[in-house]
Amino acid sequence: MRLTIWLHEARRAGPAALLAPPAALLFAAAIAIFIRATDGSRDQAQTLLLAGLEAITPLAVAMVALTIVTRENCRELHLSLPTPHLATIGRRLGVLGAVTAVLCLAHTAAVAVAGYRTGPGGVASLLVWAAPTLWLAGFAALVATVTRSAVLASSAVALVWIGEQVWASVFVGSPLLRPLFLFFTSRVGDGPGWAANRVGLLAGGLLLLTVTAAVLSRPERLLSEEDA
Amino acid sequence: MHIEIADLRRRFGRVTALDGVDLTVTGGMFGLLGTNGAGKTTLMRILAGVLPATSGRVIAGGHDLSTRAGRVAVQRRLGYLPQDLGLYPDLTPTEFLDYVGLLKGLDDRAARRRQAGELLDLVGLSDVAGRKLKGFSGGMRRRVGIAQALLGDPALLIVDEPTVGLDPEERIRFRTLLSSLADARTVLLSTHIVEDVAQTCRQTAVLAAGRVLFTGAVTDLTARAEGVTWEIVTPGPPPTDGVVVSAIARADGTHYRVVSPRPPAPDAVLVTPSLEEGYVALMRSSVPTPVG
Repeated sequence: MRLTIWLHEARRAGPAALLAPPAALLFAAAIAIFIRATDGSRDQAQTLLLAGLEAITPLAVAMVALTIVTRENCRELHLSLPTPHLATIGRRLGVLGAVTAVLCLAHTAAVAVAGYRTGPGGVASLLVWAAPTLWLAGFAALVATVTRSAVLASSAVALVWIGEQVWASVFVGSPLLRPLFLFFTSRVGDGPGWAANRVGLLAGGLLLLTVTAAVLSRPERLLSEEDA
Repeated sequence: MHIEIADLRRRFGRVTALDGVDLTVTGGMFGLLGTNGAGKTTLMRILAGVLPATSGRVIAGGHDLSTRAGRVAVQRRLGYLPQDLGLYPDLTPTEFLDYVGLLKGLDDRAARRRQAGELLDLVGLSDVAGRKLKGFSGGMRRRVGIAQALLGDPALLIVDEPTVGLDPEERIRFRTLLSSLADARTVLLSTHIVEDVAQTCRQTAVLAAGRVLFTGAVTDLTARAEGVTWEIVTPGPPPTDGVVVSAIARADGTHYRVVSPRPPAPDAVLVTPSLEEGYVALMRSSVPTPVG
């Protein structure tokens, strides 16, 4: 039963859940290879490979997460079933998370083998992608759940992502905004402040997902306006 | 499944959808009638454990729906067909039933597949069991909906406006199917189509503005229009006194059936009422004063 339900939920999560994370990583890798092939520096290629993990993958995952939360044709039916709807959504997001984790680990290993690794090593290397991905996906899921609009949620995610890219120095310079800065590793490095930033993002991400779960548990937030 | 509803209330902000509903539903087919906005869907959703009530009590099959354990216990014995069942266009009916069966807790794969096959056969879709749902007509989708509702052989079947948008043939087919299912379980049919209740239910309730206006036998609701249902044959305009329920043009003029406490015309003749006229008489709150 377990495997069958996961296979069903993987299908419901949609092809994007399986394709978006590898597409994000391949995109970054392709640009890095292109730069190296056209006499770009090794540092540039390394930074791009790191950005693939820390910036592009979280964006792709967040976009898929908000789609998973908003796109459900049979919501009322799900709410009438003994399996909690929250568990169903959780499984779909779990599929996305598992695919992302496997690919990011493989990407990290491949980059290290190729001699292009930069950023922290060991277990800490997980936080390069896990922390920003959790935060941005949690933010996307919450906005999508509250607004019930994929357009609004994707706009909010894009705004945050671009805003942090454009005003990176403001985020790094402000003690208040620094824990929310998604691109610390690729923009600042893994020196002082890095660990606090990662912990801040992880804690924030968990909080956002918890609030999302609380909202998803309230059926009146999920159903269309009552025709009573 | 026996359902006992007491002083049930549901508010959405400032809007009161249900305002102190008291109702008892026993086995067989039970029709819930009411205009759009009467509170039917809200009541169905509360009974299905989809929405919580603001206050009041619902006991279904001995389980209190105000508790999570009670809701889950009822949902394990429930089949629910919501008014808008979206379905998943990329799935076949077999795959859809397999998925819903899993979520209903039917863990045995072989039993689940067998049941899906039997239900698709019951609703007349076994020949398209391998076709994607995206190509299905409204009636076929509704039949997939009833098949998923019947997974797990539920003791309570709740169907919300199941015949809206169906062509006459599909509607009759669907009504017959629902009637046959009511032999072994409680079927709660919510509709604003009086004909659906007239053809299938023995017991009914009428909801208006979140309150129960009537509950009892269908024949008793019909009796509400006795002595106030008239027929007039005239080539002229419809009568202005009372509610015109039907107007059929024939060679000798238009035959109007009118619900009115007084004769709407000097030559009006009292006739045997239908359920629709009983419903109209109730909704008009006309006092059924016998004339004659």
